[in-house]
Amino acid sequence: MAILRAGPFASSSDSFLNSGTPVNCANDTSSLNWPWKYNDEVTKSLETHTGCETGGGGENIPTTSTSNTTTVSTETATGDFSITSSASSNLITTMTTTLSFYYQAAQSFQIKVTYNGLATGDGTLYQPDVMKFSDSQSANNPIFGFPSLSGSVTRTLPASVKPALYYAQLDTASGIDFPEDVCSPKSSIADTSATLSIEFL
Amino acid sequence: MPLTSEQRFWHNTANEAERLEQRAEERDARKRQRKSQDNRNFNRSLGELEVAYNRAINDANNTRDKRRLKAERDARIDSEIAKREKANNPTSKNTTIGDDGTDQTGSNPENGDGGSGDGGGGLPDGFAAETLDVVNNDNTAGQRVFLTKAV
Repeated sequence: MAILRAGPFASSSDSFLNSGTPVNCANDTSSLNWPWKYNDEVTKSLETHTGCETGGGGENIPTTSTSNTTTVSTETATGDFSITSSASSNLITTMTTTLSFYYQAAQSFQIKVTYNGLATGDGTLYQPDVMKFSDSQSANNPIFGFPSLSGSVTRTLPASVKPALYYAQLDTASGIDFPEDVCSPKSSIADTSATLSIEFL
Repeated sequence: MPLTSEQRFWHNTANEAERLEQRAEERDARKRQRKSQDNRNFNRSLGELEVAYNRAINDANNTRDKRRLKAERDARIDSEIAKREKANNPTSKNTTIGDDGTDQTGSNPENGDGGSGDGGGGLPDGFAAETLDVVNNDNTAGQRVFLTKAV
């Protein structure tokens, strides 16, 4: 029996919204009436070394600024798709890249999710936060790696009359130490990049 | 046992119905007689007209006059028949309120304004057809027409 379309967007509590996360028809990316859409969300947190100030004891104390941004865009897929994001600072960079969508399906279907995360910096590179891949089927069992994290997983998305959520998330992070002269910020950068790809099998 | 008022009512009603039916039959019979008489009169007048023309044709001295009279005879007869048909049937069928033809009015299913619900292709009263997206059994996106009604 056919399933009546919900959406076009949904949330965990409402299947009939005009905005939010898009609801798709299983793995059919060919329909003009019901275009296949997903949300591409990137959250960046940058801590930047700005210079120094003099402490109470006359010593130099480094100063920093922080920047947190989140961008969400709804994109249309006409087949397999991927997103790539990157961020950098001269101190600490963390980034979360997420693909998400709801789907309705009369029968289960499979997708292959490929992830690539990378952290780079100078010789003082360290991991300021965990780098991990997780998705809605492995939220409690993520895959870790640093300074690189890559691999793929094949997921079976079960049939669902009600919109079911799938998301894939890649957390990346990169950090470098303050320079010896904390009053002179480094020109080198702590960079991180992430790519998530979804292939319909 | 005397008749009750209800029994009397039904008895009188039955008698009245029988009387009305008899009057209707008599009226129909008179109509048929009148129509039959009208037909006979019409045919007789046509016959007399034709006889008169035939006599004139026979009396004509030349072929040209004979042909003219024949043509005039046929035209007159056709004209009289046409006039009588028009008098018996003043307008075309199914174009007047008094016609006993099928009522051509009704709902328009394409407008989604409901219909008679008699299985003749219209929509049930109060329902509208809406095309909605569905997930087909094979996971492809499709569309189905649903009958919807505000509640």
